[in-house]
Amino acid sequence: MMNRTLRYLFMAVAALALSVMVYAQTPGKVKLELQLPKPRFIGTPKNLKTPNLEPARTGPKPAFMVPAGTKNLAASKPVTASDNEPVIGEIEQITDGDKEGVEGSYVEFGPGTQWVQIDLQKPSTIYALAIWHFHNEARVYRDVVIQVSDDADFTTGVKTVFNNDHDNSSGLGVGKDLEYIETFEGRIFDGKGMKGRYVRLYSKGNTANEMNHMTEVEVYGKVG
Amino acid sequence: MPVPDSPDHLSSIHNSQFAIRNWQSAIFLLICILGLWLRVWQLDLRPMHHDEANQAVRTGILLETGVYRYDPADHHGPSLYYLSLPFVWASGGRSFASTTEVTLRLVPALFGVALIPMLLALRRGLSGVALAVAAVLTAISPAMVFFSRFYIQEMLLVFFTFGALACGWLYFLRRSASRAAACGLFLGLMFATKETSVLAYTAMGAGLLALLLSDRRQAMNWLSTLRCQHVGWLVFSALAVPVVLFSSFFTHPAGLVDMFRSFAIYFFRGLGDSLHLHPWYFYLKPLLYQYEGRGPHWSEAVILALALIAIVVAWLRPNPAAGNTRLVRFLAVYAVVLTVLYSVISHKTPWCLTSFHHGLIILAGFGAVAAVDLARRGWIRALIGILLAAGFSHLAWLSAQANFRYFADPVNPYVYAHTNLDFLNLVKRVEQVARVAPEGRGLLIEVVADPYSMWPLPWYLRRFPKVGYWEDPAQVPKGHVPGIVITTPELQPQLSAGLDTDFQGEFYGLRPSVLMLIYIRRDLWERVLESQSGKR
Repeated sequence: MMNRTLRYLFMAVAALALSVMVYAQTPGKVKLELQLPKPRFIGTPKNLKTPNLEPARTGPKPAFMVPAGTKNLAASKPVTASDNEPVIGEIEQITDGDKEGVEGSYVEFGPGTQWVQIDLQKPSTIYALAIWHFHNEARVYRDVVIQVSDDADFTTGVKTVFNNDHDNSSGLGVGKDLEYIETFEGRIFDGKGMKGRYVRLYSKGNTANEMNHMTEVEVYGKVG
Repeated sequence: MPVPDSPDHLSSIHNSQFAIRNWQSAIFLLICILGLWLRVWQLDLRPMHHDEANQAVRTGILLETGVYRYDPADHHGPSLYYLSLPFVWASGGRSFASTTEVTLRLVPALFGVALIPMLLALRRGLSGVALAVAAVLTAISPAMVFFSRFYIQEMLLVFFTFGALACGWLYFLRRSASRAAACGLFLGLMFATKETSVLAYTAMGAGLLALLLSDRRQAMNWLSTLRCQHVGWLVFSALAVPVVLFSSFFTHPAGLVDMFRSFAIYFFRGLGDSLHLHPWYFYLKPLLYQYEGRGPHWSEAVILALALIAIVVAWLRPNPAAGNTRLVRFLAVYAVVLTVLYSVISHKTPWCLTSFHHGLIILAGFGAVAAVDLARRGWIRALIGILLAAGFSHLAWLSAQANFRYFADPVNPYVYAHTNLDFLNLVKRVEQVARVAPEGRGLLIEVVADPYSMWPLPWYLRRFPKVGYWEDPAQVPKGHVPGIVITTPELQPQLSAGLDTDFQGEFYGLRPSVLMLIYIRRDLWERVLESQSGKR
């Protein structure tokens, strides 16, 4: 019994010694530490105040195809909003056809999640939406969500066209669409032939300030 | 009635002066408190500017390594960094990571406040009321307050310039080696603060030349009795300060060579080799009137108007009761020449206006008294008093607007290439990711951007030990998966295609019309979302 115990003990010690020897023969491994570059000191940057009227994209704007006979159904249609008394402008300006990036063309709403809603007045098939938030400078609007419904209160039958609220900070669900930089060309969204009478557009501040802006909304489709 | 020079007469003068000093002291104390409050209240309100972050990182290097190396191309002299050290030590900071906006901005803020009591050095040159008006205007001027809350060299330069002027005046009153040496010390500190001090030297020389030409005989008499020993002390102390500081306390002699090289660099920048070319009226516009379509109607015209009155009165109708004619004439020429010099140089940044604006403010103190004295009727004097009170109230209101409401808004004429408030949301996002990352703040962050878009990130990421900064996307090492990538929309297409699939991207505003992109590794982003839903 004693011999067997001694034999096991000897074997264990031998195995341990062998392991140490093998480990010692293996080339040592150390954690790779990156030598990270430091920032370069540089003087005052240029003070940019010029309007960003150049498209961010290079090359011509790709064509967006819609069925023949499609027209802007939103032109001069009634507009409502989460705040019917905006900080700047009147909500009717959102469908008045003026999409210039200058003072007097845009409507400004307060901070937080805000929406504007357009009543197309008849159930319609929507093929595309074109939106200009504010394009006097390069900026990105947050939590841009576009929904279509036949219900003016957007409680039933709500279909989402676009949602880039990736952290669900507006509480309309996590969106997978990407943020984009505003340009004078506006942004075209694929309506995918969705049907509905009302179009609601949300946003929650932008990269320049916490306010919300809307210059123009166009909804391209056909009645019925 | 006491006989002149009798003990009674001297006693009455002494008592009268003492009474005035007490009265002045109380007023000055109140004005100092006002100036202090405007300069130190909510000092961390405004995001750090690109330049502030550059200066802060340089201070951090000096703090942690004890090494300072002068850069003749940018960032100006060393005085700001060395003078920041006592503030950092007093706040208990021993590392760059432990410094805060408040600690660093206290340096220019307190130098800006110190301009107010320093006016008392001119009490034998300007009347008590003139000094009080100048003190109030120094305390509340929107430009002076705004740039006192800005961690750059400007307010130190204004303080040292005024120190040199005040000591020069005191030396004029009574010659002594200590006064000459003090004047030289301030002249040296000016150059050790900012290279544009040569403009102030030129304006001071022009002021002295004007006095010499206006009263040649008396000036020659005064110069003929000048003691060489005093001139020696002045020159010695004026040279000693830059030599000590630019050579990093004699450890880096090349700094002295760079000190001279900076003249050529700034000369060509002044001629037009600059990103900041502006018309001649760039400085005068916000001081006269500027409106950007919204926000306040900006103007410090009341100061300009009073300074103009002072200049006219000093040369055409001297008022010895309001101020010493020689002093006011000197200040008039000095301020006008400095304003012209800054205006004709095409390289302009708004903080530079503080140098000549401070001279105009001192003149405005004299101008206010002179304007009241010019009026012969009581009701006109009362009307001038009411107008001045209204003007000063408007200035104080504008100062509050500039510093506590429109502190980072481009409608504020003193906001120049400033960091957007939205940039702080990017910093918050980085902190949010660090809270859920297994490595915490030790996660790898890659910043890939042009140098103008990198700042003020090094300040805001000072507590993150693993941050790399690359200007060329091709130089970013492969094989390491960062937790966060921060880049610009311009460079993003050159980065790995995996960014769009393996990372969550977000836009943030850096400056007006300048955007930044942050990419958060997908697994960390999922944790951020989980932590947010947990809070809900």
